[in-house]
Amino acid sequence: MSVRDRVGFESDGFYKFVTGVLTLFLVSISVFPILYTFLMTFRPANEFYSNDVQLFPTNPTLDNWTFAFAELGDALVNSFLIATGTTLLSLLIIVPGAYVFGRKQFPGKKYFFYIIIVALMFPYILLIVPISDFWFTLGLYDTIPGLWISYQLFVAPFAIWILRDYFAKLPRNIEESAQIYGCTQFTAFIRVILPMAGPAIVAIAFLSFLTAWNDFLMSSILTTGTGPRPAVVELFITVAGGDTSDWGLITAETLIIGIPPTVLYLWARQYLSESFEMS
Amino acid sequence: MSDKSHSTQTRSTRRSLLKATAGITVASVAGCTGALGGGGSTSNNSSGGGGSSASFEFWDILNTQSRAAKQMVKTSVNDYSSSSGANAEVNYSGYQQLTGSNWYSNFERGNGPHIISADTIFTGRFSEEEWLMPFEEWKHLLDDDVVENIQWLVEPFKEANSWKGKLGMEQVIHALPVMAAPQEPFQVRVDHLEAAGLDPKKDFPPKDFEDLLRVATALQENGPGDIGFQLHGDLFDWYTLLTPMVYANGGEGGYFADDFTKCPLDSDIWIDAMEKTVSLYREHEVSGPQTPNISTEQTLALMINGQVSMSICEPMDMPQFAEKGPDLFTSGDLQWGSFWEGSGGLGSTLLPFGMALASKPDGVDEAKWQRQHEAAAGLLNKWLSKDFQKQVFKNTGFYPVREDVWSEVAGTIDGAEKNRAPQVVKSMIDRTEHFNTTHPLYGSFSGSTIGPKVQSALKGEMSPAEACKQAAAEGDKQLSEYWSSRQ
Repeated sequence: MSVRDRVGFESDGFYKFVTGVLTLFLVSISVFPILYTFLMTFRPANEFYSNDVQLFPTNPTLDNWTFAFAELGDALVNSFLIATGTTLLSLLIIVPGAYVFGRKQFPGKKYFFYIIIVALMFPYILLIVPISDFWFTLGLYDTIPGLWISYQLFVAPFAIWILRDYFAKLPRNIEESAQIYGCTQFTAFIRVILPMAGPAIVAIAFLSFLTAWNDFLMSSILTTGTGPRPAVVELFITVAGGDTSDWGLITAETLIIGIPPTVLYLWARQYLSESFEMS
Repeated sequence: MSDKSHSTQTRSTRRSLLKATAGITVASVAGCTGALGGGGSTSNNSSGGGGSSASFEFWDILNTQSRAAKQMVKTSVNDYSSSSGANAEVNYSGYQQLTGSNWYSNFERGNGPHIISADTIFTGRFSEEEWLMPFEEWKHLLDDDVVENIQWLVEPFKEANSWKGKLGMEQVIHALPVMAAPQEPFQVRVDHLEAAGLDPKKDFPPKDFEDLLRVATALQENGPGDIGFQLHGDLFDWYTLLTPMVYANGGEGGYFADDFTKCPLDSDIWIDAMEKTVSLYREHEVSGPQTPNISTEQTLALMINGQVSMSICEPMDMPQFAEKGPDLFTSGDLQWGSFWEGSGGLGSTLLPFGMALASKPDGVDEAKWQRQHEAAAGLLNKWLSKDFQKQVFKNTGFYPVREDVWSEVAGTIDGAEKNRAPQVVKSMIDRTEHFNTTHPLYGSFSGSTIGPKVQSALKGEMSPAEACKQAAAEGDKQLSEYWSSRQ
């Protein structure tokens, strides 16, 4: 019996109307705050404390956007370089690592894997002081490579965990078949296994990029304003750097910083779905 | 398209992708190579040019005051770099970086800048570590006309550094005030005063606590606003009425006694001021329901939209009033008024914002550091120049320290004759005798110790007297631990 039959709707029209209204209500709960935030970015400073509740600004201005872009310009480039490098480095580490844990047998495999996973169990804040001092000694403090490496602490254990399961679920005899057709173990990995693991690798890359793009903890401690400070730290200074709350600037900077991951998500969502489905 | 051509195209696309990836990697490495030069220590060791073409680092807090303040800082740095050939790398920071671990740990590692700008109340922990140079050692780098026009503050400001005497640095100034704000003036909605049947000339500003209560009650009962007088309970704004009242009544408003071994908050004057302040909210109910947590920034929004009729916000809120309520600000419907004078004189203390040159870290070439210092001092001269100083009040709410620009400040403020903001702030500076101390515990004691006690008193969780006594006991303990650790 369908839901419609169970609740006793008498006509398709009424059913469609109710579901339509309900859908619209649920969608507006999600969309309205974003829309309101977007419209706030066009509001001049003197309209923020008006007595009237207004959705649209009376005298719209682009000042908030132009100031936000001017403020974030270099920081966005830094964020892009940090997130891209973190992603590439994480793939270099994670893909072979997960493959070995997923499809190869070696002594102590289970225990090595647990050691990696245990890293997820501790609060990251514990690592901040030692990493900060260690990075300074190594000359990695306030550098982009320093951030690339430090983010692997967040990204690698979790990603290896996910990708290991993905590799493990691929058919057992697939590499052997490839080797029968002339592949070596390495080329079987490159030409057969990697393409099959494509969705999971895209998902891992997306999560790595997102982690490095949005992280505040590491980047605020390991950078200064004369180094590669990323956009998220700039946003924090706008939000909480002083006594004032510049809502127009805060909303504009928030949306600017949110756009690249959103675009990336829209591109990667099919792979993400496939990956999570299989994992 | 044949399979072969499709395959070729796919390979070509893959190759392009690989090239692009390689390009990004190279760009990233190039970017990080550039970033490697960003740190202070690297910069200090880099082959900076000689004299005015030296490269130096400047860590700044003023940029957080407002957009205009940030623009002012940027313009000053760019102008200075263009005119002098010196290259200033600016670390635009927030108060979290200054008061938290970021600045401190970088200084500790010898990775600090050549020059900083910050509220002087937060510079004590840097100067006690001798990471900042005494003003007397770089005074000669200031222009003569600068020294002449800031002379009025040098002697009084030594008092704010008297705690250093116990560390063998008798009243040594490290961070030189380049602007200052008297704490605190009143603000009122003049249209509310008139609507409540009060006379703006006679009834504002209040002449003492009883007068404040009378005006606030009349505003609340007869005026168009909901709240007659808004107090602040925010951890970083609780002092706006309380501390000036203590000063006006002849008490020690600076949290620490003269010898910095005792906290005077359990004195009769403090307890009386705390009881009166809390009574405005709990007994007389002329302060709004959000009082235990509200900040001056939130209050100014309520004043602009007419819910609050009178308050006591900081001078640094003035640019926000001007930006967010331009009509009220220029028409004079929003007006400033001086705090009252009591048996102890004017209820006010000066909050200075300063600049300081950093000491040379170990292992850095002396001659090069000297060149970088001279370049950094050039920026300090720029901030103390007449042109820069004239714009300080408009953009930050702090008042300039150069005497010879004071007469020109009012001309930079729209509606100054009506809102009286520059005149009131200037007259309070003229009559203020105290600067806030630079003792390292001052800032954290205010926000982390007294602030929560004031909030508890406002919420009725403890009596005002108990709040004062507990804060004093904790202050005594913190001071005792502080001095013990330095013996």
